Amino acid sequence: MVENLSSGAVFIEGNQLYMNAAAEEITGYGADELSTVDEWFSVLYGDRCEEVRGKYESHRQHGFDTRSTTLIECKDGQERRVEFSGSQWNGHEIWLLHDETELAQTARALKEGELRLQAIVDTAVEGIITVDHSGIVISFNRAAAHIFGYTPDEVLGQNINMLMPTPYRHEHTDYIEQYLKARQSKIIGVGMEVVAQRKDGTIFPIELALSEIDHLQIFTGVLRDISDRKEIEARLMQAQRLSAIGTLAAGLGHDMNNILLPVRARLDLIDHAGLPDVIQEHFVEIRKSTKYLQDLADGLHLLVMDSGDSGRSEELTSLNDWWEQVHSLLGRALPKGVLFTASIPSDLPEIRVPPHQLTQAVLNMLVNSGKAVASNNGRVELWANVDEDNRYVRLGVTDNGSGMSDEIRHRAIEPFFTTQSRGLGTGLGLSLVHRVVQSGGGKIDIKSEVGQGTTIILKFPIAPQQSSNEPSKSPENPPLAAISVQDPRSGSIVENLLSIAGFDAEPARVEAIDRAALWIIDAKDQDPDRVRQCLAEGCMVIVLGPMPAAWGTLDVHVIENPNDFIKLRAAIERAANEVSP
Amino acid sequence: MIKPPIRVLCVEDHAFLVDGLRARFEIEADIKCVGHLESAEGLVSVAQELRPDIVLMDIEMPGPDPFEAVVDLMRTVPSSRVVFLSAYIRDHYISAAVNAGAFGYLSKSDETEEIIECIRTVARRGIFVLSPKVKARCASTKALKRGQISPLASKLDSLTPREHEVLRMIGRGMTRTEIAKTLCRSVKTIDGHREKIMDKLDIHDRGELVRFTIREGLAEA
Repeated sequence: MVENLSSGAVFIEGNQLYMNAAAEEITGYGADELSTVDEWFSVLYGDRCEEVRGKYESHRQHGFDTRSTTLIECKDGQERRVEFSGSQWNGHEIWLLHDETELAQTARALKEGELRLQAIVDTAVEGIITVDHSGIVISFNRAAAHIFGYTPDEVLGQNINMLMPTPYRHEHTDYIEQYLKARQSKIIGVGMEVVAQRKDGTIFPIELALSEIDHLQIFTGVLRDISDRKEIEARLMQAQRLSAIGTLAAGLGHDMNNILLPVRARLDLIDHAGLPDVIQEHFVEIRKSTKYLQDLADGLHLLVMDSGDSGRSEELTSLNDWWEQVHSLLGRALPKGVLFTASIPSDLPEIRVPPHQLTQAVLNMLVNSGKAVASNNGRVELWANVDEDNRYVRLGVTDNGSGMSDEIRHRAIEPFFTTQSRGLGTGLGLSLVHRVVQSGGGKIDIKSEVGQGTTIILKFPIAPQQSSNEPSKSPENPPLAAISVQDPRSGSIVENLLSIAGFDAEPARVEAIDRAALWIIDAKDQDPDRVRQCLAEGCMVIVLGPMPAAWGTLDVHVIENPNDFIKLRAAIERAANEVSP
Repeated sequence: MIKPPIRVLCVEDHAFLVDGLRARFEIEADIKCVGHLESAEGLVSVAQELRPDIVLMDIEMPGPDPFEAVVDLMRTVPSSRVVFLSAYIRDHYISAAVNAGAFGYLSKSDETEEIIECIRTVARRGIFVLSPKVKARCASTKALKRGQISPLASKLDSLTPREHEVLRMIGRGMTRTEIAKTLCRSVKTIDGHREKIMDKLDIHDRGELVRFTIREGLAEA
């Protein structure tokens, strides 16, 4: 009976042992080489003979109630992993042997393969997520965890739609079901850009490649966070749009000026000639309209300048001066029929944001409001005030338009978010507004209610005032600059630049030099000892023209070509900054 | 003693603008428009003939480069003083005007009284003037904030004529392929020019380069 078994079998009678052919094949020994139980243990287990035999005896006493697996040392020197199951019958024993060596090797190889694959998946830069046919996540690699902010434990076993924003979140299960029924998809096997949602709720763009393992109905998604790339693309798009607006604005301003100057010149002429009272009233209105157009043309340059500045700005803006320049331009940003009011108090402190950036930010806000309000009953108000703590200037745009849902409000400053198609001058987005506010160290606050309207508030920190004992560029206490330049043209160029830089300029009388923070001189006809004395007293000196060699080394700024306007201006501006940092 | 009127030669391609100014000058007893040129073409010979005290000159006109024309004029007719009257207030224009030897830079958006007063100041006192609007705009530009010795505009001087040309085309929104086709050069050559321009201007972003050309008026020049 034992001979005929295909599995290895050993028949035990007392100490005698009989193997079948299959058992001979497993052990490599012939029946004559292992003919007793003692030989079996001593030959096949070597040093472990006593230990294994002890276990055997124990199993035997318990009627071989459990199977055991041991390693045997075969005749060819190899170890084999063998499962034993024993049974007793009429005082005899039968052992059935099952060689598990290959199975174990296969299992080990599989395990190693799995670990290797997992290591590859986990070290991949791309997020790799696998879901089953019902959308349940069955694998979630390390990169995916990093991208989404979830640990694998938080996602495994959950529906993949937890990683999607609405409305996709609620539609995804239907997509899978429809696909499995129809086996037609526009997205399987095709890379695409979609949006995803992190654990913290932020929505971001990803590039996603989906594939299906057909026979298992498992879907694998390989994805990459493309926020940075999209941000760069969005900024480039904004820059291009601003360039287009800038070119348009520059051309328009140029043409308007070419027309308005002769119009104003002829109005002067008419005024000079004297007008009958009945016409005078109309004439005044024409003057007003012309001034309005001139203001509009003047404001256009504020659209031309750079809006792509990054980092904190040092430039200060007085909201009143700014509004004076741009009110005509910005009022045009709203559709005809919308009631626009502006309330900018005259005593607001300065804020740290360049005026051109502020113009672009407010223009965006007004364009958005203009789109949100009804054309027949729309109201938009631009307002400004100082907050209760006297820390921020608040500049707001309030409209009575369609308002935003909470979700749209939360996403409104995202660079990729829009509720409308983008056209020239629009869709620069609240993200641009946000960047402008951030560059000024400020904050943006959006209050909105569907059907009621929206208020967007830009909060800019109030720029610190200079302390009263420091030299100041303010008109009350401008630093003094003395000029000793013979050539009237060069001297007047210097005087203009000093005035632009905030200096009070005086001809270089002795008392002026003594009080001056800056002295600008011709190299000709100057006494180098006087220059040395000035420098010793802390006065800065700019020399126009080549410095005579006889002067030796002096700590002065030399502008070799007095006609080099840019270098001269830079030197004066630098001096101004040293006097009033 | 009554001084002779200030003789003004207008160099401006918009005839209606000159007509308006000429009419306006008629109110002033001491200013007279003695001639008009639609470009800087022939400026020296006309100035030699008319001997204007002031040449009131536009910048963006067809024809020869106005700044080069002023350099020639200063050499040949030094008694004529040039005052630029432009619709644009740009650092590099003002700089070029000063370098060329001009005595003033005014904006077409200035009040007519200001323009007239500036003409008077230059003619009678021989000093350099910037109109109030030009001064105000200069004060508000930040290019020179914090004492930068080499503002961006001045770096334009370091560009070769070809690089200037490429920069202007970039400013007009032309693609590298379009620029290459226009200049009969390879795209690779244009890329090389662009890299050198960005290097010289210390600009590291193509968007910023485009904005720079717009701001400095290179796109339309």
